[in-house]
Amino acid sequence: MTTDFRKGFGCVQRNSNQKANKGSPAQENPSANWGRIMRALATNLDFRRGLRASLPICLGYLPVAVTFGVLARQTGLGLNEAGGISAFVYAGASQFIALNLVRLGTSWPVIIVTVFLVNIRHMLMSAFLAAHLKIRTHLPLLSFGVTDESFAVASSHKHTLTPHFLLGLELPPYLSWVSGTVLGFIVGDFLPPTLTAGLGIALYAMFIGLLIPAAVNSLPVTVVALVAGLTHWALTRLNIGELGMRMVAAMLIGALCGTLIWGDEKENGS
Amino acid sequence: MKMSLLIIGMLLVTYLPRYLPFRCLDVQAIHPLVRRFLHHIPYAALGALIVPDVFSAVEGNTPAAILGALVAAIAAYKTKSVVVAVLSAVLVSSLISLS
Repeated sequence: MTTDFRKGFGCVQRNSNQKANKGSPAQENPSANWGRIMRALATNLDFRRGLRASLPICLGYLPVAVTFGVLARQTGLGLNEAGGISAFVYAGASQFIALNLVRLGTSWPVIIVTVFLVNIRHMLMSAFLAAHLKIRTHLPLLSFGVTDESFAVASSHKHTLTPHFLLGLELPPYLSWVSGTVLGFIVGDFLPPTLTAGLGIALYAMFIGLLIPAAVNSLPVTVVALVAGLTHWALTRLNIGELGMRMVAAMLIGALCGTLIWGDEKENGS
Repeated sequence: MKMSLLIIGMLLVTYLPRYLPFRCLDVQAIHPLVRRFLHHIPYAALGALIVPDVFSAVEGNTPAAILGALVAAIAAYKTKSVVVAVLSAVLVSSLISLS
């Protein structure tokens, strides 16, 4: 498949004969290429679906990102460092934990190992998406945006997963996350708490909104989610392990229950 | 300087687990049992993501979070729309925490 990013998103929808495009003079002009890509994306149904699906995520990310920006500044980071973490690591919980460890003066190997353990659940999520994404283009780019939230939406998506959908789904939250961080850093403590009072529930409402419709029609879904949730709760209550590992354990145990109990059930979708 | 090295390190340990399954997983070679297992992962993830963190969703105000979550659940059940669930939950949660 094409490795040229600029050509890829503009051309996947059209005919697969890449050679026909190579000789045309428009290919030499970069801005014409970008224009073509923008138009191709704007008219792509899947990309638009992705954009729409990403709105709750953007809404939920903003207050958290702003909080991170504020905290990063308080921890003594510079703007480019705070923005850099959000832009290059792009993983909510682990960013806050890392800030905390920096403040405590923890050594960098420990911080890196902790971040790794907290984020390793994304590997399971990527495994699921990898198994369901038939058109395998732009994997390095699309895999970067795999987060709890984008995975929750992508894995619940009714239609077949495509790169266009994933791009539409992952791009706005990323922008929202990075700009929220910058905003929080700059504006600092001038933001009144009343503004963000109720927004904290947004992401959880999104998860619930994704889970309930699926759970209502399916006992396996209900049981799996319940088992995973209760396991996570128990592990947190008993303070076993720490954040990332608890989630992984809860996910594994929940999915294991589903696999063992409903061995013969045909999987639906895609 | 040390911070940029830290960021690079964190980038690697975060990005590689996200990317490698796409590269290394041979979709054809997935054992049917593994496939069944993967099928349940999203719902397990949702369950684990919601509980117990939802109770601390609103700063120091657990009832607001619980009610918001309840509203989201009811809205989701009635309308099957994520957007409605989110908006109604945020609305209710804000009203409660501001009162």
